Amino acid sequence: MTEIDKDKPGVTKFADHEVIVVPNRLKKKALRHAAASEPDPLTDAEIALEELSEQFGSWMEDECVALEGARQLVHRKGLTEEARQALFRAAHDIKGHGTTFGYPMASDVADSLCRVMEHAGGTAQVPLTFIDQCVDSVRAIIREHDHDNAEETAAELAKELRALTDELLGVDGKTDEAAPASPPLAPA
Amino acid sequence: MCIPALATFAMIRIDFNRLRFLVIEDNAHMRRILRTLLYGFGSREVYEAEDGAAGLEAFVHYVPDIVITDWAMPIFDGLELTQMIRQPGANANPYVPIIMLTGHSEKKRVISARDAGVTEFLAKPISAKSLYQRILNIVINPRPFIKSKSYFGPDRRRNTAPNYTGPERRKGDADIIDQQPLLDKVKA
Repeated sequence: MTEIDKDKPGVTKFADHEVIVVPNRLKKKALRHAAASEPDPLTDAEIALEELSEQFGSWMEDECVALEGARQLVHRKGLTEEARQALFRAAHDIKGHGTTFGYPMASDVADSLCRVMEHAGGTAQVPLTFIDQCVDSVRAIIREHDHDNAEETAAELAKELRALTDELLGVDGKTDEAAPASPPLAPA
Repeated sequence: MCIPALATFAMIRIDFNRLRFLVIEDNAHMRRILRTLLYGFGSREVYEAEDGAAGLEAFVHYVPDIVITDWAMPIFDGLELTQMIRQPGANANPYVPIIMLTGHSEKKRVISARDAGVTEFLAKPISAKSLYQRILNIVINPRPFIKSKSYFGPDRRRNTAPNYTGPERRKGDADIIDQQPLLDKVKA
């Protein structure tokens, strides 16, 4: 049975569920026709982001400090839950932000670290040498970002660590829900 | 040559200054990016919170039109936050559109987010265009809500598959609501 009231959600009941049609308040409130000459909000946002991008280098350095801090914690305390969380969160931030900030290869390396931490059987199976390799690679990629041939070197590092990740997780490019194979590398 | 329908589409604008956003993200740099993009689109009301608990408090206090939340956050994460918001009768707007912004892009993560009641999923790296498209879709093309014993959130069936031959899990005669194509909705 459908209740009719323009301001209230319309509810249609079925045997094991209800379908609720919520009035589109946002469309009424915010959608309008615009003159073709009006500035494009998407362009304005892209310009604003471009202006902000001058700070991305120092932001990545901040992210790198957090990653290094988490690595030091792992070395001091071992892979405790606290240290594991700190390391995963720092790597996950770099994985998520690196490409947005112009460091796609740092994202790829951080993704390798995240995948091993997430999918290796237990914390004991995350080798410290692998953690060190990933953290050192991210740091080097960020540090050498503006140097000649930095992109090629970064891509090579990311590729090697991706292969090592697949080896550690026992995958060979096949899709596996428990330990999915590496995603394609971002173009250098 | 200009296609008339596309010309109409191009002149549709969202008045971002009429929408209130809540951004919940623990990373200060990503909050800055989101704020820059939303202000670039024309928003004037962007509230921020650093973790899930503060986010829930801000949600109740500010009653935003759209929530943008990160997944991995301290105290409780974006998934738990979504489940708390999607409690019929527990707050002012359990139907609020929620955009899940995350570095997780694996299929099982997307499914978890969908099953928690997330409206749109936005995998990092973020761009002005990808965020704008999610918001546009929310304003123009909202989905009905489904309420069952095990789920409350936007209809997880975005499309009907004419060739689908599996079992129908929902009981009832007319439980699939045909969605109007996006372009038709814009023109309407």
